[in-house]
Amino acid sequence: MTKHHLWKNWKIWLLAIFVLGSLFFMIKIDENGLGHNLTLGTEFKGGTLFQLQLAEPATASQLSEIKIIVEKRLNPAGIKDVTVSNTGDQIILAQVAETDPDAVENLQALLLKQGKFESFLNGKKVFDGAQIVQVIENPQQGYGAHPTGIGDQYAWTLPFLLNDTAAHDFTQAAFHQCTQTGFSGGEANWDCEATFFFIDRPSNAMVVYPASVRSSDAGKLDVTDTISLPTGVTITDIIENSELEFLEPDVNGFTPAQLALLSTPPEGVKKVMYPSTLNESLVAQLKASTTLEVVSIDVDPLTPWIVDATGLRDVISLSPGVTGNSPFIADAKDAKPMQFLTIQGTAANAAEAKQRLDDLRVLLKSGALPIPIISINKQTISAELGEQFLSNVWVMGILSFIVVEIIIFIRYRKLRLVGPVSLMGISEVIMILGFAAIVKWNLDLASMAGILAAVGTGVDSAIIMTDEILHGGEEEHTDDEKSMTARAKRAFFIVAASAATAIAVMLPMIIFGSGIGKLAGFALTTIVGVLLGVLISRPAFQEIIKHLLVPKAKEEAAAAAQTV
Amino acid sequence: MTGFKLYDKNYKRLFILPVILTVIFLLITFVFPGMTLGLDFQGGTRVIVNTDKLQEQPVKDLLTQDLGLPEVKVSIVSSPFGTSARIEYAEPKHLADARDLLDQGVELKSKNPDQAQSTLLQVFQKLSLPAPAFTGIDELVSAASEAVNAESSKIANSVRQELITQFGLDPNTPFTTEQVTPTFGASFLTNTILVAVAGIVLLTVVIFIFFREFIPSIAVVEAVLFDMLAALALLTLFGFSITLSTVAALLMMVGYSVDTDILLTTRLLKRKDKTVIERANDTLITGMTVTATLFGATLVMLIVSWYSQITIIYEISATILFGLIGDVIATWFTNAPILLWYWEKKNGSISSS
Repeated sequence: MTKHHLWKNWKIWLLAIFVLGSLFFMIKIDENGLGHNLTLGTEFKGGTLFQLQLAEPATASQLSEIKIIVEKRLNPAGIKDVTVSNTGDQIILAQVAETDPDAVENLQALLLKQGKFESFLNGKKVFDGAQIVQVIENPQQGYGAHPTGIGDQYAWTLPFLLNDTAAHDFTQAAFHQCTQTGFSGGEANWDCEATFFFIDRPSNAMVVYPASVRSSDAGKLDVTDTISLPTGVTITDIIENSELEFLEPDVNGFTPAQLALLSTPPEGVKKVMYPSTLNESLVAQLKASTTLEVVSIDVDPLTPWIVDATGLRDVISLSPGVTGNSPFIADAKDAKPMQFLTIQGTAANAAEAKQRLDDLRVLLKSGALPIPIISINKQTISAELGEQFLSNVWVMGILSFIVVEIIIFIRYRKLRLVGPVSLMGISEVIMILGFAAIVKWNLDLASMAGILAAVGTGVDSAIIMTDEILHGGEEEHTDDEKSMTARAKRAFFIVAASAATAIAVMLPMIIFGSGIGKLAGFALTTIVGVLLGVLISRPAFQEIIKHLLVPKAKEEAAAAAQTV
Repeated sequence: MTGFKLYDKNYKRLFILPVILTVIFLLITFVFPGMTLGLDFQGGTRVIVNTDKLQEQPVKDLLTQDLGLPEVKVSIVSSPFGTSARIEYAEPKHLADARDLLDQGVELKSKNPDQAQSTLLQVFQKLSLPAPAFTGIDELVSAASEAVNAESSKIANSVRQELITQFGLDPNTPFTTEQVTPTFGASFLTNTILVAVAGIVLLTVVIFIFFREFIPSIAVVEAVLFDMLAALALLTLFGFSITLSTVAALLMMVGYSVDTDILLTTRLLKRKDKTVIERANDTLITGMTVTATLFGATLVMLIVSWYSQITIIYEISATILFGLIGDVIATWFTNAPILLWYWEKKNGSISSS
């Protein structure tokens, strides 16, 4: 056999194509230089992984609902790095790039919250979650999004139904809340008041709101890209609509009036919230002057603090149709209570329209989980430890490899074998990582362990194939080409049988393994690794060692024949 | 052929070792000391703190005596990667009881709402909290789980605060925590048993499909089961608890250990050169090379993961390592003699050449 033959072999080409393909999907080259497309789990980036157990199994639609709610709770402004997924029908996984223990506790508490929806107009509550009879999700009743015909733009509509009392209150509160500002294109332009939607508004709290935080919030509000509130909403609007007591300390600290309020709080007030950036002397003064529970709320660099503190989730403008402005109704007494309301808007494209509909639908349903969460597991790993883990996994992989090579060399005394074994091991790692990049698999420590384990079975197979070809038995006395094929076939039977067994025994971990969350990664990478190994890299390895060892085996056979 | 030869015509005496070991392993695993279920199945909290300021006994005393936490385990690991303390504890009784009541309440929710309500109200009693106004059973479940969770957070928090103040740690010291609730643990356990049983059944099917002969197939399956038992016993002996990772590794290890069995079966039954005894001895060398290589690689993983406190890889590599030890005995002291005996029955008695 010559080199010529090896390069003609389709098994070698198949391996080359798979390895190159995997590298193509894995490696990312952009303005930052060389990078990768792999998704590393919280264990390597640092962060917290929550596992949420639902009280009972959820249907597919409940699951998607729950995932949206969980995501909203962890990431109300949509700017943090949060991923939510489910394994099976009773466990939800949520990853957050947050490691501060207090913040993690807050998030955990937030996940378990009931979720109380309230809508305010001009500082008055107009309806709450319990008063929404139904959020309509039937396209025949108007729900959904459709193209407007202008570019990619989509118009979306979300109808919902109020009960009698809420319909009456809302209609009265909204009456004549629009003012005409002019005409354009034959239609009237209106400027209308807006309704403010809150989830879990801290109705039992007072809020310490220093001027510095207020001005930075105002700045953040102007940058509308970062939060989902419409332009034009001001801090004053939010303060007026949240129905909470705000205390703004002056240069000398809390005013006497504020201190009086703190020491003898109004009825129903149970706690005082303050921004985590509040200076220490004010915190001390606050704690000294009140018996109320004092709660620090984190200041996010992008979201206005007041939005986080009050639980504001959305601001929806009224339309002249519901305010009795157009068609014009002169007297509020003549306005019919409107039970059937719709929220409408336009979005830049279909995906954004769907996102908007999902968000609002969940919001109107109080953000309440259709099935309560009964238990939460969590795992927090600091960013520095995560990086250390990653480098340690590398150390582990490389050292193991060296050990394997040394043992193989000691056993066969053939340096020629070291290359192909490394080639096979490395190509299997690359193919598994390529697969992970394509399916956007979240690579955690368990997955890494799976990769090491899968490559281990590869090394196993490599030794068996080598041994079978070197010490193949009786056929070596017969025709070379034929005996080689026979031995190779038998070797591959062993390799295939052991791969099939390994896959068989691991398969249930994927099929029924939804309840063993963190090990799904281990099972998947192992199975994929063994499968890619037995189908792609191991056959190619066999061709390579056949090519490398044949002349040698022939010589040995000849030598053996002479000595007999 | 020179060198060590394990097999001769008295191969049947080899059975003695695995028989004795099976008895010992069974005793270790199920009687004394008996395997223990770890964090994943029992629930509990594990904290790893990267600092050299913690010492084993004082930390243990603090958690057990001052904070009243049960099942406290503390170990300090120093390595080239730095020093870290690894602390494990279970939930105190009042919280565990509250959680049980919550689970019962959830269980009863659809069958007997009244009883569910009174059970859930007891959750608040256990936690010395005022009962909330009753609105609806789902709201009550949420409120109860919120309360249970708040209590568990409070405990985690006080552990952290106490460690920081009592041992003068930097407040920004990174804590790696892992918390599994007993509720989750119980469901993990059920699922894991299901997965393991299904895995073993599938494995048996695949082996039978490949060999299509009853005795050799059964011998391979038996060897695999022995490996698992050996791994479990050695894990128990060395003080490991059974966790999700060890079970996954037990199943994974099958992929490793079955290689040598298949190799052996193929060589003894399908090849015709030399005598069957010689073939067995040849195969032993190949098989031991495979095992030694994996052993070496796994040992590296075990050592690195211990020093760097990567629990999941540490547990997986320990399991595989112990399984490989079992595999040496299962393959060469049981599977090989069974196959020799089977060959003898089929092809007449073995004569030593």
